[in-house]
Amino acid sequence: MERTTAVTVITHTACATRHLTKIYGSTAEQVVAVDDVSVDIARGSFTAIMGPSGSGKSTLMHCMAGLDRPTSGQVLIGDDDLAALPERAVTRVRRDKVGFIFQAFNLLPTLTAEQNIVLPLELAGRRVERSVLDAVVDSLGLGDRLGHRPSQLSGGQQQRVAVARALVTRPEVIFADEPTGALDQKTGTRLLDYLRACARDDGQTIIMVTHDARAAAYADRALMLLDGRIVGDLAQPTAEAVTGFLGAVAA
Amino acid sequence: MFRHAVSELRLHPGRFIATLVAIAISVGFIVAISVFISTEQNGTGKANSMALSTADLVAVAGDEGLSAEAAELIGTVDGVAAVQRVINASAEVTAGDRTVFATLWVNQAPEFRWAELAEGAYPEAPGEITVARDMADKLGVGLGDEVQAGPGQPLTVVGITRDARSLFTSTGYLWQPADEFPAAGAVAILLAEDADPSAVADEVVRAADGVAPGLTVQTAQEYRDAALVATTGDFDVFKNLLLAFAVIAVLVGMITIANTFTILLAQRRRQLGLLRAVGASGSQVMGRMVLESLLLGLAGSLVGVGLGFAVAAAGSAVTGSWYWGLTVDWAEVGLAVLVGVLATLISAVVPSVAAARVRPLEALQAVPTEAQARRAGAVRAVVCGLLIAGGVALAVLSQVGRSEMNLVYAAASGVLLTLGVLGAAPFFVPALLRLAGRLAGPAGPTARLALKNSARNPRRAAATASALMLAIGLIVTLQIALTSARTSAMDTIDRELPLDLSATYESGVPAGTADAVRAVPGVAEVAVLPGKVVEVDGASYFAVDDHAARLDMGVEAEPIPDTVARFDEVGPDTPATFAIGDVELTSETGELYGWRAFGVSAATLDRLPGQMVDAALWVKLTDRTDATAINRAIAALAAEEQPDLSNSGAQMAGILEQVVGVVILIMTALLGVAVLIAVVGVGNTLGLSVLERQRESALLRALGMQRGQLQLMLLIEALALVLVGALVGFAAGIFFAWLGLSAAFAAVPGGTVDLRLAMDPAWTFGLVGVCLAAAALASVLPGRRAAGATPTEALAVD
Repeated sequence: MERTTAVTVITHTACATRHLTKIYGSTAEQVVAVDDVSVDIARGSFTAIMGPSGSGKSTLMHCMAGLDRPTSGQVLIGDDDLAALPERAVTRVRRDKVGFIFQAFNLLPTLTAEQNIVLPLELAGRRVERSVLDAVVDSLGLGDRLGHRPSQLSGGQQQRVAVARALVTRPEVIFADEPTGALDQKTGTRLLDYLRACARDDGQTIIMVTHDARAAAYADRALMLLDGRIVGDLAQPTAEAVTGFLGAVAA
Repeated sequence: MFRHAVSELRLHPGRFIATLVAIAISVGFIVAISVFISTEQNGTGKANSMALSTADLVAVAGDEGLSAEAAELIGTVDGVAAVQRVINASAEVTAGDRTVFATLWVNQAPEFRWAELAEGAYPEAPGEITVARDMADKLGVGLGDEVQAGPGQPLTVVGITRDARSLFTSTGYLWQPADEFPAAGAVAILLAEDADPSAVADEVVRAADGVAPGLTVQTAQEYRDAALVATTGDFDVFKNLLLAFAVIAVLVGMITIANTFTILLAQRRRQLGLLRAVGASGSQVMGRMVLESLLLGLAGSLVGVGLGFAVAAAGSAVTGSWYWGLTVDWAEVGLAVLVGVLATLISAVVPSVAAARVRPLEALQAVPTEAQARRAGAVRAVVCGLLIAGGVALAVLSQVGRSEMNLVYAAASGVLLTLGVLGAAPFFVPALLRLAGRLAGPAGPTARLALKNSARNPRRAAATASALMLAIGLIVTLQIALTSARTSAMDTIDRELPLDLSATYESGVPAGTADAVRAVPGVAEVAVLPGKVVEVDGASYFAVDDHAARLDMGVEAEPIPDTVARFDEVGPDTPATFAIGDVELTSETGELYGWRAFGVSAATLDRLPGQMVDAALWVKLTDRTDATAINRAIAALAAEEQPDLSNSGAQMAGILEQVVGVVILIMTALLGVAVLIAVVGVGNTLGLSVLERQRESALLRALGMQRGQLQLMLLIEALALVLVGALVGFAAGIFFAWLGLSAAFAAVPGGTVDLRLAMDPAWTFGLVGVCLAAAALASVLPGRRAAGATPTEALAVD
């Protein structure tokens, strides 16, 4: 049984958790941020993690992305168990197999757009494949902005540079934390369209944390979190379905 | 408001530590100088008037001094219990190759002695000496050993006293027949019991009227106070010299402090904006900053006072003045604290004015604007351009013509160029850092990121580097100037005094001396010059033949023609032409032969009348600047008879080498304080930048940068800043050293010294190496802090 599960993970699953638990604080005042979560994320899927403030959605994502250490349980990215690896190896997995898109863009102000995009490759000592870079840059319409510094770019452009940075390493999975949070609606919609296309057309696995039901509607799966547990798993969610579900749970 | 300022300092002590350290070091430096010099001054003054510490009255002689008879006469005055003529001499006391400079007291009567004996006895016959413990230690002698004090017979150590040590001289006691000292400067008087000091004083003046005109009588206390005042002048010069270095330390400290405040205020923009938003006026915000800087300045200065006292105490323990206790001029210490507070205040005011201008809304934007690189103003460019142009013009002016004004032009040029280059630092420092970045490009993303980071805020990078530039520039200037001056002077000595040692004796070289000198370690060669005693104008001279010796020693000089007598110097006493027997000779100058000697050719010497004797010794050392070898060789030369050692290059070279070595050491140590402060500034800039870049560090960690890589990045940033500061300081130092020396040498009448630029690589590169090592150390804490950033921080939205 165990063996078959493992094989399944390798073939169909980009990342997964097994009984993932994260507890903050001392023994006296413990806060269980993530409570025994087991979930499989299929390769090429676009998953939204939803939940109200304090539901544990950010902590879940941090643990899955190797940014934070779980208290117990397993975190699998490809065939690596992040919970069992030493710090240096986890850093390497982050570098090679994970991409990030942040709400606050988080570009390095000293680097040009292009230098920001290829930074993860450089940190890994990998050669920049021009064709991959050009394809990513073209698809995001950043061709004439490569020499600019972040301070010379608009918010939408900065976020597209951040997306390019996440895509250029061809990671196993991209984590996006409220990627449209700092964008106006029109720019945000365009970004979500793009992310959905990446998943559908190129098979790029994307996990997006959001509290915006309309953003979640772009995903093909929505996980509902409350008090550190998954309380709902909607396929092909719509904004109405998500809002309705959250309203029902919260009541 | 006061409470706010205090809580700001208490809540974020880390941010202010570097400022505190910079202030404390600067103030500590001033206090250490003040307390140390006051203590030395007091100690030396007390030591000088030591002889009178046991007396009640002091009779100070008029111009003619006091004879032994006059002292006896004073001793017969009613109310006088005992008298002692105060006779002392300053002399170099030597034992083997060690030398101590000492004050020797002669013929002390038992009731006037002030020092306890540790061993042995006080001297009671000529040829005996009793020395202070520190002299015995320095010379490495004990009871029964022999020492030499000036020319004359050696003295046997018969006792060792517990005297106070002092910085410059040691103490010794001799016994000599009274008639060897016809006149003493003063007489110490012990009063009989119940005697009235002023009545006795009047009586002494009256009694001595005939034998000692102009005699005055003071109480011993008055005399000691006067002696103390007399030493003050010497020490004030010394103190002012040291304070000049303190001023440099304070200046570098101010750059560091101003830089710190600028960074702190940039980081606190939002906090200040919030204050403004809730209704604080601009002047209230500024008032708060000023108050903070006052508190900080005061705290740092007080730490500095403690530091200064500790250093002064340690210093006086080394020199021995600790014996007299620390002497503190509280007014000067207060002044040092004031300087510390004012320096902090002034450095903080400019950034504070900028802070007060922060508009409330500007500071409260959700996403901080990343464009922090402000353009250095056009005004700055113009002012710096003018300063540099003026400096260059003066530099050119200092190189044309030969007058004493050259030095003035060079000094003024140095000041203008320094101001111009430091002021222009925001233009060229980032450019240099970018250049370094381009060169390091292939070294990988860590190095490239580091160099971009270090250049991202031009003003900050420039201020940090310029503190270092100033400090290193000054040290390198002094080091190269001194080393070059030494090399140039050595060059001149080598050319004009090619002999290491040249000894002539009144009646020829004593037998065995040449072999004794040959056996001294460090002596390479000894040549004996044959000569004859001849009479010129009624005075007796040696005529020597130096042909063989010259070949042996490799001394380059024209051979002497047959009709020439070559003197050291042809002065007014030397006849231009003279005849000895039937030999006619013409005088010329050659500088090799010593007092009462001249060189002739071998053929001429043969024709002169008289007996051939060993006239002079020439000595060549393996290293002419080796003080030990020089002293040993001189001791061997003087073993039988005191020679005349004029025109000996080694003595001059040895003294020069020692003096320059000591001066370089002291200057480097003094300016090292400024470098220390500048390096603290580098660590500070880095630490504060890391605080500011916490989110970036977290991002880099999230993107897969290892902890070690992040620490390496900070290390490279620190090294880049130091290297740029050091290189510019280094280049400027070389230029200023050349400028100063060439102007100084041009002003020398006759222009006999050629300028030779030289550098002591151990010193100069050692300095840069120490700076780099210190910078690496300074990057450790910020590096740990940056590496400690958890990757999740990058995702947080504040």
